[in-house]
Amino acid sequence: MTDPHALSGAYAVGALNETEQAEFEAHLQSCAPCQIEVRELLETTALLGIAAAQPVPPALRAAVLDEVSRTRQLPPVVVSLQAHARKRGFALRRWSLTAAACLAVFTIGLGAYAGQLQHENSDLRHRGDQVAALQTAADARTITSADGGATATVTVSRSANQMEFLSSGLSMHKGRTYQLWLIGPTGPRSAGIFSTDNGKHAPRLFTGPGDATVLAVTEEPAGGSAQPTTQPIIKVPLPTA
Amino acid sequence: MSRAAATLRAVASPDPSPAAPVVRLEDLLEKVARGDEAAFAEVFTRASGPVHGLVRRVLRDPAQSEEVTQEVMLNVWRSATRFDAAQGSAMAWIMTMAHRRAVDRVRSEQSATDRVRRLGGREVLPAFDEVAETVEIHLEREAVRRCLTSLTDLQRESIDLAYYAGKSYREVSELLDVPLGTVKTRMRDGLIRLRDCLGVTA
Repeated sequence: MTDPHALSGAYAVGALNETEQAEFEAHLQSCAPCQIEVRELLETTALLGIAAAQPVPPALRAAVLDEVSRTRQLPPVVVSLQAHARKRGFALRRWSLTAAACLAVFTIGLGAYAGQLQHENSDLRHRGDQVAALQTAADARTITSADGGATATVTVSRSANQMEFLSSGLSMHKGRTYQLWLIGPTGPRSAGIFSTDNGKHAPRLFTGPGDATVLAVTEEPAGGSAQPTTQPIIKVPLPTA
Repeated sequence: MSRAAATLRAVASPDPSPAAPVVRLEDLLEKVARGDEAAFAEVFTRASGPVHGLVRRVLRDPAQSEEVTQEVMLNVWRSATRFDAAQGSAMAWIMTMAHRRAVDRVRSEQSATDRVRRLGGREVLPAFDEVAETVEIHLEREAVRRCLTSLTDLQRESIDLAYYAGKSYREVSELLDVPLGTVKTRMRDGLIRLRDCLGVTA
């Protein structure tokens, strides 16, 4: 990308394709003045939208209010605007990267880091460094995938060889555990296990992706498995470059 | 509060009589996030017109527009738990969502049918009598209309084609026959001029 700053206008009017949008949002993360400008420009385009207001057919109101009474809300995890916008209609979410998502992952990572530091644990200090390395890597990408009621957000940097995984809406059977798999040309290899509490879990940080092209989550017996024993609940395609 | 920010609040509260305390859209969303359906009905009252109008501008087809409006409003309900007031106003959050969904739809349509949109003589905003509107939306429309006239033709056309017609900047560049870099620059400086004219602050 030549001059990312120049794209703030095209971004705010929604004129970038998904790759450009992802690149611009990656740039936003490290550019505080851009964040302010983009926020102001999005408030401006919102006014353009409001100026086009048209009344909604009464039947539409009734239909939405009816559906709302039967629709469960998402768990309160901060995700990207794109994720909001594209939540519906995309079984396998395409590229989706925003400053919001990255900052959220970063903030959660740092929050965990701060809490854990109280224990003077150097391993955890190392973890904080890894989170920082991942979030500041120029090639860091965040991909969000949704399947059924579950949403997975993966941040990956090939240069830092670090990945972070965060999900919501995974609900586990008793005595089972979730296992992450990096799937490459030589098949799946484990990237660690985790469990959820009310569908939530701490961000998982691990090394990768190496030659993997997909990250998958399966449900496994407690303690995990050497190879996946169930069909993936969710699969996230990883960026190739 | 800036004038535009005040307008965003005003749009979000159609009954600004002093007797009725004005509930901010942000506060309503907070209630919605806790599963308050009555609060959502109020959010719907305030936001659905802008959402539907914008979606119709982008998609044009009435049936598709209703479908997308419905999706967007339902998504407001589902993801109110994830609205973060630190990132911007509630109205901007909702309108950004609406625009992205509409543009997603129009682009997937385009790749299938490569619809050609008539360019000449398109009104930038609907005529006054086209819409039954609240006073606030009327004032907003007038401010936007006035501020749009302060832009150069190229700035206005670039923003119009991208925002209201869902075109990518590459398409805008082809349609207006100007270089890509120029389109990007005009979008940005045009929006900055609009922002200043409308008195927007983050």
